[in-house]
Amino acid sequence: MRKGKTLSGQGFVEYALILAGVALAAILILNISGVSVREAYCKAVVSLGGNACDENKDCSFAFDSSSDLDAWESNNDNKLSLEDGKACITGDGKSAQSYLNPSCSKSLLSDDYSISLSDLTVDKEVDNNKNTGFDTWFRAKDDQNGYLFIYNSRTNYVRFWKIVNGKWIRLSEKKVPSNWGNQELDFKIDVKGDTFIAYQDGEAILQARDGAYTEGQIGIRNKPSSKSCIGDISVENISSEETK
Amino acid sequence: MSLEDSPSLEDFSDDFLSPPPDKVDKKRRFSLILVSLVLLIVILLGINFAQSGAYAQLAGKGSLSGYAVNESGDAIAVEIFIFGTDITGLSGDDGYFEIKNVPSGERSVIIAFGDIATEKIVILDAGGNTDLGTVTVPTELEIDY
Repeated sequence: MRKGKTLSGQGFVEYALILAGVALAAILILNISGVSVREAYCKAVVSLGGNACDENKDCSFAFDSSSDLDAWESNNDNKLSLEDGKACITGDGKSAQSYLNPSCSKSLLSDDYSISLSDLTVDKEVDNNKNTGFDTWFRAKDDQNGYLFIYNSRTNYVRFWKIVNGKWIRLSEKKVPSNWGNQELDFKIDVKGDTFIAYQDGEAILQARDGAYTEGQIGIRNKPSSKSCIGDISVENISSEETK
Repeated sequence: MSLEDSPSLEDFSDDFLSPPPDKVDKKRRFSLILVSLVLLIVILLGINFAQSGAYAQLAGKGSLSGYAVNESGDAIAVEIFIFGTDITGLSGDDGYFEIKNVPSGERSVIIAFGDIATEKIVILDAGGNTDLGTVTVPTELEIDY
């Protein structure tokens, strides 16, 4: 009787060891293949009808209330301002201001995503021959390291840059119409693996490839002499099914 | 069933019942699964380690050198960064730079003049020197500050 109980107990321990081993092997395989454990877990939860991983919760900003401004952290302790349902940054004529959003990137299931920026206006605020325009950070560690998609409304260029320790490496560029400065712009930036594609009003305008930064924050940046206002920002993961 | 078709006593000479499962065999099967799992985990851990920065450190170090010039071919003083590490360096006014103790393998070398930089991807051999040759660094590029 005593012997029987012992055998039964050993069986459970062995089962537990096998289960733990399988779990550990699964985590290691996910790690090697570059899929985050969180992504796999959330996909499983969603497929079972749950909503434990609501990725858009922290990544959708309509800027209709001041609470939408809280998640954006600047490099100079300034806050975004709310004007007529838009988030605005006013340049000081000296240097650009970046606002990164760490909570959004943490809530995303993967580092492949699409950033949509709607109803963007860029006006010249200071007349001193410094740049005017609006930029978007992605996969940024901080405001000195990451990727930037820039719209320069003074020179009428869009560019992808890689920033390393504050040093700028140009990835690609394109001249854009000068009348962009007088209209509301709708940018979308698809970030998928090492390929980045920028769209304006649904039309692809610029592409770049680089694999140096694989993760990081999203953010926005206003050039020194402009006032940029934006209606909506939303970030959604690009699923592998969408890109097939 | 007729009496003739009934099994004879000889048919039950071994036993009425099939033998109970061999507990030793069951334990052996468990042990085999466990050992296979442990082996798989060790292999996966090895692959993970091979992909890590720690492996690159253990794999050995090399050095790289080169000359930095501007678009006109004139020597310029530049800063050098090895992407993903804290390793940095400076060239002399003659543009020559040499960076030692760089982890071997594929490395991204950032060569910067002021705030403008260019990037070279190199394969660094452990224990050897990788010569980048003459590297043209853009100095007149417009930056979107």
